[in-house]
Amino acid sequence: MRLLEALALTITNGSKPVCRNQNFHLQAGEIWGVLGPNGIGKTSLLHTLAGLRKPLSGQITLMDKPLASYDRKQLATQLGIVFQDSQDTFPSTVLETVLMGRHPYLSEWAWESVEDISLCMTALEQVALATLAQRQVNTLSGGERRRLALAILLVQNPSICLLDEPTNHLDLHHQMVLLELIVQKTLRNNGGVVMVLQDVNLVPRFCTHVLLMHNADSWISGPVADVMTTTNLQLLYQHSIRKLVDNGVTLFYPE
Amino acid sequence: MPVFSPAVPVLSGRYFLVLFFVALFAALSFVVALGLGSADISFNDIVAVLTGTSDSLNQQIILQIRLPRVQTGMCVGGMLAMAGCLMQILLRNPLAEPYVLGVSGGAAVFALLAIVSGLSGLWINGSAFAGALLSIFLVFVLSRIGNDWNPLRILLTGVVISAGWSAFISFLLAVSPPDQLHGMLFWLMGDLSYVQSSFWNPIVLAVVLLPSLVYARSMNLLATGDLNAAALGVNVTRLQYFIYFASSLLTATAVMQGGSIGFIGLVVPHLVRILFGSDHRILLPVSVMLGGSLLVIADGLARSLIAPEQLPVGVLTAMLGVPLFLVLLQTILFRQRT
Repeated sequence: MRLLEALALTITNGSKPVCRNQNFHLQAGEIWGVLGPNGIGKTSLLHTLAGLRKPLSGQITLMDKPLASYDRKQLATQLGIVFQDSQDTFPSTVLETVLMGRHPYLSEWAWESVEDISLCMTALEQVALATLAQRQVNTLSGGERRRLALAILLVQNPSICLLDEPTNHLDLHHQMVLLELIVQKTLRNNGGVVMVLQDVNLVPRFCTHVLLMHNADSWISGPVADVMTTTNLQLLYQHSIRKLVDNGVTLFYPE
Repeated sequence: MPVFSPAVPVLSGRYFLVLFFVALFAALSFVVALGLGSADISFNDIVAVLTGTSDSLNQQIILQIRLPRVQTGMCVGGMLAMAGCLMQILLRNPLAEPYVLGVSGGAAVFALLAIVSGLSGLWINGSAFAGALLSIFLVFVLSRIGNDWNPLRILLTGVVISAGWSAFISFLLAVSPPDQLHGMLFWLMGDLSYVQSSFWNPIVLAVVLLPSLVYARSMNLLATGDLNAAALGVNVTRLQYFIYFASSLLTATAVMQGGSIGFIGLVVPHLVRILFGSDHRILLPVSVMLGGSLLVIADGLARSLIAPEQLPVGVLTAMLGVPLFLVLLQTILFRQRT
């Protein structure tokens, strides 16, 4: 099933073009990695696909209906996004924050039910934050906040997950465990993932497809095996890169 | 962590318990405020008046002088506290308060102009309301030019407009005849001496509070950022418009009657956050009740401290609010460290 499709997409960021007339589609069961140099517009692309900013031109459809025809609440049950960073101006506990992920499922007057709370506690256990449920969010470390953001996504439970550098601030162990968790859950839901990554080596490990944003007019996309070559990566980052295969794992490293 | 936070902070049973006790406290403040003033009236006398078994002098003082003032004070305090909550989420800034966008400045300039032209009573209220509306409209239009509407742009536009009004106020004070200065200063500091009972106050409060309670969970999300709120299903633009006009209406109505009473709108929301947490379903109604309580107690003291002279209530709200807030803030910081 076609989950998310962008046709003839043109996005600009200020006066700078992010992409011109590009196509992108996400099918059920696909895990996409998005790679590109700093400032190329990976975040702008993700926000546009989430319906949070308008493209200059082009068509975006979610499950064969125009993205703009969904209301925000309905959309939030289908599509979730984890932002690059979070802000907290006012005090709030970890549990209260996770409960925000249930907002799209509750009517305006409704209170969170006992089920909502137990769902949230399960998600906190999955990201290893259950013992901190009553802590204030502003006392958490960068990595713990990241895990909190992923816990919100887990309780929001959308079929399409858009992740903006999900492994930021995470230690090596949590990078592996949490990406695996999100990927497995998405596959069980028959959904799809698009994630912007900085670490090229996470792509062969977790992704089925990859999009290389070289510049506004040339995107290279396709299955990981076809696209993740040293030639393509060297072109992308303008840096010479070597490849290493060890124990069935492919690693790229800069020279 | 909030002082009275149980293990699961969001279940509605606890919510109604909190509301019940805060309402009890507000009712108590109401009665205490009726007892404060230059004439010495005991608690028993008040009960006697309210139950209709009192002599005529006490009855007259309570029902005709103090009751309208306490009623209005309760509503004005509630409006300011709620407007403060709303402004703080709209601008996503803990320093925001009802006057930050210049609503009180606009009201003050027009009220002072009315005083200078020799008008009095309701004319001053009317021009203050007109000034407040003008300022609200100016900030709205100026921060809407182009198509984006972000907190920083509203804040900067409001702060600059506010500074403009301040200069105008200073100018008016400098050129006004000395015999009018006393009244002008009282107006600027916030004063409830001339208020009358109005059935509009509870209506305005209800008209804003009820839809706000429907939006309360969305407001919790908005407090974490526009994008985050939108991603989790909030219609952000609609909510921002609502908050802008709701808080403006509250502030304009409050300022029109009591002048620029400071501190309530800034401190009460933070006080409530410290005590009961940041969930707007609790924050909004509790702020309304505590804001009203704090204002009527402060106004009671303003009437009685140097009786028969009266102080502007704005002086008392700060004198009460500053130590109260600082003590609570220290308690919280101490709790977090241990």
